[in-house]
Amino acid sequence: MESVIITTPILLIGYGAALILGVIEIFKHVTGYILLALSAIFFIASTVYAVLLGAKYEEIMIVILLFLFVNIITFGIHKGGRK
Amino acid sequence: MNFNSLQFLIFLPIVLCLYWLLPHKLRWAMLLIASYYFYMSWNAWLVFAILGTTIVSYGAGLLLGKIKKSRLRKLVLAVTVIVCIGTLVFFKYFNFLLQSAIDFLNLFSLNIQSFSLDLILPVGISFYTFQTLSYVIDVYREKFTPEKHFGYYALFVSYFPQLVAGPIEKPQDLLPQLKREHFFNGENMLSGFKILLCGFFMKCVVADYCGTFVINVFNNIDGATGLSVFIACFLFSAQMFCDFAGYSNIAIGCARMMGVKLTKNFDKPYLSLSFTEFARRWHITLNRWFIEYVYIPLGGSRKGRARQLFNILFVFVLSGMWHGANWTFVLWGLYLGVMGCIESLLAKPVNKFIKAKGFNINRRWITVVRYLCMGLLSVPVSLMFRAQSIGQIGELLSKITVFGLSQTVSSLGMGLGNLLCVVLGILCMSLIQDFAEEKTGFKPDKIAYVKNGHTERSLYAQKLSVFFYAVLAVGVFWLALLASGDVSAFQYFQF
Repeated sequence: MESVIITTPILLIGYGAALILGVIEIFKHVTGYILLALSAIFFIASTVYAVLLGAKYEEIMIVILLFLFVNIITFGIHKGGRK
Repeated sequence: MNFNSLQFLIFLPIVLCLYWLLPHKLRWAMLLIASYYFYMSWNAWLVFAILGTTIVSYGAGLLLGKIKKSRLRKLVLAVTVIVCIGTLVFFKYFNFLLQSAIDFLNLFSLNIQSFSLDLILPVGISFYTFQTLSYVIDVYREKFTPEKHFGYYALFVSYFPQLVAGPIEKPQDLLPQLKREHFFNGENMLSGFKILLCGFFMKCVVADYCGTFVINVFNNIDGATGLSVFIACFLFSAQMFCDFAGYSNIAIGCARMMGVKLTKNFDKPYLSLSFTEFARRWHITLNRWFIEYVYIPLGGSRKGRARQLFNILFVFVLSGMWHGANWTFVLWGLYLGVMGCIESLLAKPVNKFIKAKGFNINRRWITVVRYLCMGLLSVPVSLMFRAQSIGQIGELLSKITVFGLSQTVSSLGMGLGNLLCVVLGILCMSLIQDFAEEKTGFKPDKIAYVKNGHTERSLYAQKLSVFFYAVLAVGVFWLALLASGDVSAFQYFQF
């Protein structure tokens, strides 16, 4: 699969930083807004750059869904499954 | 006007603003006009069908409230049922029944030419017909007093969030809420918006996306393999659930923002371990309708085993026919009915055997095996629901012996990136429902305070980030599908 994101190191760094900051805040509850806001900024900047480099919408979607999954997983752990 | 259209995204905020700005006395009128406008956006002439059903059932309700003699009451009920069901049968089944009769007669070499009327199926006719019948029958049974205010009754029939694809509401649940004065509540608005977002996620990100691969297989059977048919059936199951449950969530979310609580229509149906359980968790309001107004009056399980099995089969076949005018739906209902009967017959002896052997049926590996069995047995369900004809079902089943991985990939039109999107979309979809239904309360309070070692501000920020990525996902998917022309109407609108 040809991927703009995987073949561009700066995008990997950007998304990686966004993911790490987000995960730290979600699981450690350190600061509240700051780390998640920084994570979102890194994400938006990386996504805009990826689109400018010609990334397909499916690549962007995979990344968005991955970030959504990481952010939402704590709700699933507590509330999911059969009653 | 589909829910996933630009017009609806403009329509809804206008209706909500007017609703909360207007005094209570005028809200019903505004909602009624908005609901009829919503309905007429499909085809203005079809409004006469819903208006006719509304007038007939309203009149019947008033008559049943006045008449005490049981024979006359039965007559009024019978006439109303015939008129309402007759309208439904005419618009939905006339051409199907006519063609079936012609095909049957042609078996005797009569060579009758095919003939059909150019009928437009009124959107949502199956839903609002059942909802009005629910009202008339409950008034007949004296479970509900007839509604005298025509405006409120007309609003009950045509309330736009649930007009075209349910949930099918009982008059006791919806009418009092429409008449009651509601006060603006931030929590209702927020929880309504979360449920709405969940619905759009299910429709745009999962349903429409899976649909693009399903269509590749079902529109090109020659190129399909056994594996591609198998995968297409699973994708179609995801598509159908997300399409219908997504619509229901949008309807529930819209109503919640107006302070109205609609009935939950799905309860994690794909976590069912039997077809009976599936029937209880899928399209809950339709099954409730059939149980209350068909299964129980037929005797339910009170008239012996043989009668119970017949009742189960009859209700499932009727349910199949309700879904569409095609023999594939009859077959679908028959299949589910047969599975329901088998489960009913085996329930007692299997439980007896398990008790006698001291078997623990709740072991994890047994649950996994049961899920796999349900998954395999559900493949024909998807096949029958999606196929255009019995012949197509046969053609698709004949592909089971065709192998070829590259042919499977080209038949589905699905690459690794697409697969990853589908898997992540389905994972997020199941979690986003829990997020939408979260009961801890969303407090938009910016003052931080400590609770159990975590700051509440942090949890609030995390919820905001979920919103952010969910809205982004819906927006990107929707725009991409709009651009490619693959955004489709909700599947259940055709019923």
